[in-house]
Amino acid sequence: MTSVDKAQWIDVYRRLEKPLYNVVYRVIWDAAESQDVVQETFLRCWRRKDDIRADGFKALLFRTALNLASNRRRSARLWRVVGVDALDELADESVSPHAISKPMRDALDRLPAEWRDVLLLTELAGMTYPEIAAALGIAEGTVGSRRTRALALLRERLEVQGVVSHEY
Amino acid sequence: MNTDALFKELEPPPGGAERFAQRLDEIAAERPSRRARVFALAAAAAGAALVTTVLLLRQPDDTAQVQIADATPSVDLYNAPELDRLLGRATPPADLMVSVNMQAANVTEIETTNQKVRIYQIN
Repeated sequence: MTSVDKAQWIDVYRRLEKPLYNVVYRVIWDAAESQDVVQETFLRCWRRKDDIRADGFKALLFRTALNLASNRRRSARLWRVVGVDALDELADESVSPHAISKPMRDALDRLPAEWRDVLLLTELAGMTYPEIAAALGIAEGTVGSRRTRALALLRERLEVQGVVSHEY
Repeated sequence: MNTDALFKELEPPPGGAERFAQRLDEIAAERPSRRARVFALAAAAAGAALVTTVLLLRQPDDTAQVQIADATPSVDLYNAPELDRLLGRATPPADLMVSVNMQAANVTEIETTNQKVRIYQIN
């Protein structure tokens, strides 16, 4: 790896860390874990750098990040099942510096994963519909319909819990 | 309060880029470059080709030596009367040597009418 190569990767990391982190954080709800997933995402893409096309790079990054985040989330749930929920709660509440209320987290968590992923990418990744369609391997029209359904279901659940007002 | 709070932009923990650079260095150090792997593969292939070539070139030499050795008849075989008979050559006259109880014995040839048969009498 040349120093130029390394500098370019770090530059790309700096530019995309924030949107990737924001997407990943909404899947696993832990700041340190989310940052680790973002770094792991970049490292995986770096290993495959010779096979990656420039125009598909962003889509590959977000798809990899979502897959890794889902795997971590499943792992965390497994640990919870085997009885280390106390540790999980500790990580969730005290390490995370972001104040997103638990009802909001629950509402997002309970969305179907396919809808949630589309919503996260449209709202947080700064990606176009074609880019999201490429990242998730779905049609562009499906991106729009899933986003609409996801937002509607999210509002409905938050209204039921009294988290969002009706006029929104 | 609305869903905007759910999608507000959050700041990742500081030091991410520095940690990423460090991890990149660690992985690059343990992983041989693609060029090095290609070179190692090519060297192994060239070595295998060289060994195969040497073996193939040595094989005919050994065979030739064996053939040369086989083509040279031993003197005993060349002078054997069996070879004369086989080739239809006249058998050179030879003295008849007979031993009885490990001692040389005198023999007398008895005449026959058949030229292909010879009868001897031990004295």
